[in-house]
Amino acid sequence: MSKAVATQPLQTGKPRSVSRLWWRKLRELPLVSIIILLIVLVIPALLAEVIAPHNPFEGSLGKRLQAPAFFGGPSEHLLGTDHQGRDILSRIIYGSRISIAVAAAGILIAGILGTLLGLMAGYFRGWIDALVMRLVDITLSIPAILVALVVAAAIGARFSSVVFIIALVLWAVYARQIRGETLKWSQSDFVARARVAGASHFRILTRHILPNVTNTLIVLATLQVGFVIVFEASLSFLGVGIPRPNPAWGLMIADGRKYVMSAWWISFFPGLAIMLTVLSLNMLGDWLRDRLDPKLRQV
Amino acid sequence: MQRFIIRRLLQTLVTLLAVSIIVFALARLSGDPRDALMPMEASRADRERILVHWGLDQPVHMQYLVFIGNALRGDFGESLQWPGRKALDLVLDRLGNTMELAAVALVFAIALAVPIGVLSAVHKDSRTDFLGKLIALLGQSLPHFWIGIVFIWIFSVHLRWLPTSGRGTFQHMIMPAIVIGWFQVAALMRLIRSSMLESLDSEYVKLARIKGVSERMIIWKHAFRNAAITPLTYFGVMMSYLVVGSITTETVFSWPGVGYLVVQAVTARDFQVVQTVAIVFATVIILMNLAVDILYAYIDPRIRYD
Repeated sequence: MSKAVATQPLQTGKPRSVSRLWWRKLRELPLVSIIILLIVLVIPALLAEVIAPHNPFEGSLGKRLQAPAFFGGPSEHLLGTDHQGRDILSRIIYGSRISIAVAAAGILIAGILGTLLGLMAGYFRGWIDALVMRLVDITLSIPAILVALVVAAAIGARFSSVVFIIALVLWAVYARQIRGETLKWSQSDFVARARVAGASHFRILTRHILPNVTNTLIVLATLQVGFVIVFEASLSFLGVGIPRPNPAWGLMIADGRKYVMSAWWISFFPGLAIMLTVLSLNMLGDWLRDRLDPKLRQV
Repeated sequence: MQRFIIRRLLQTLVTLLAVSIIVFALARLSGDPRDALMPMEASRADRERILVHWGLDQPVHMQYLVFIGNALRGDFGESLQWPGRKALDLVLDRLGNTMELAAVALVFAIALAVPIGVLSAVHKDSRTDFLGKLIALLGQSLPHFWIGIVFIWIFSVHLRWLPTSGRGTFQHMIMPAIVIGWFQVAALMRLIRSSMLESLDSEYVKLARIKGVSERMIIWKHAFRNAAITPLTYFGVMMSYLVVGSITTETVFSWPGVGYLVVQAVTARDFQVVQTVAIVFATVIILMNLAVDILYAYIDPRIRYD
């Protein structure tokens, strides 16, 4: 018996077909998260005009507070209508654009600023390092929502102020992480050799250190998208984020608060959209972190 | 130890100073700070009075000194929404209610996070572990205010078990405390789980096993006591989340705390109250962090030499 097994040809290193290999790779992806994200966030944002059944801004008061179609309401409005007769599904679909835009803009600005300062702090050390790290500590010890309330009270709520606040709060997270990485890589052999070869500081930072911290950046950014979406929703809910009548998810929840006794669907569905989005983003972020940057697991 | 405390005190002072500069600068974002500080229909006399009170006719650095001077004397100006009331008095009146809620939320978070964290470390990769991860993931993905509204819908409107809003009996506290605490359960549980895993893998636990100590004693006495130190550092951060979480949660449940007050003040553009809340909250959080750091350095001497 054992002889027979031993003489069988080994099937190693030779994939049966290319499509099978792709299938294997595909199965390793966190598919549930990706599919939910596509359905709730990405496709609605890209194709809002095509798939939204109604205008998100216009409703008729005659059709206000209609129940969802599966809950005894008319089939015209799948998820029901709000207190102004606007279609909730359409508003959720258009709202995904706001969530994506705020998250992308805020994280991009924070990421660039934080990476720049983190690289300089970790590479040059000295007073730059001391200054940047002190600023990081201060930023991290002040709750973001307080800054948001003060800004809203001073200049009012608008899209740009929300992005400004997010960038103001998040840059510190990047700066701290990138500084630590930079510190480590600046002491590595390849940086020493680049220096001996006469490379400028700029070249060392952009060609030798930056590529090594890219994975950390990607993981951090992914893990933060969920936080930013909840944060923006909280601000909008409190009336210090995206202004009305925009279909921001947080605003929709706030609109429904007064009608919790009679029309639960106004608040419920936008919240469900937030939950599904953020849950999937967090799972995707965890998966990416394990893949790209296991060091971050403690963060 | 003394040097450590002095250094931490100085850092705290710098942070507090930074907070005051940020608030001071934000009030001037709109140009004339009186646009932020006063209602649009304010009379000329009122505008003059504010001009003098905040020293707005002087250069910026002098304005800041006036601001700091007033703040140190506890003078943050008068509320617009409630005329005749000092902003600081309004905030301090409500601070107790917020702290009460935060304390109950904290107890809830610990009571839930410790057993789940310990159990998921002991039964790693089991169903319990998976369930714990799920609770944590949900807690960190759900917006406070939405859970609050869903809770009201389920427990107040449908089941009629709990009151929808306000403060009074213990029943009023249950829902808001759970809503604020849940997010903390997630973070605290993860921390306890990872530090439990570490201490369960240590030499002293192995030795205790060899000696034949019962599994229960090993888990709670040998492993947990050592594992509990790490989550302690998180308490400063946690208190700040509890205080901040109160802003949305108090609004949902109309809980008469500082969080509810500040949201009302923002809506009414009552800037004096908003800036007072920002400074008081930031001070509370920064001081709590200081206390935790000192306590931690006291418990674990290695920290002092970092």
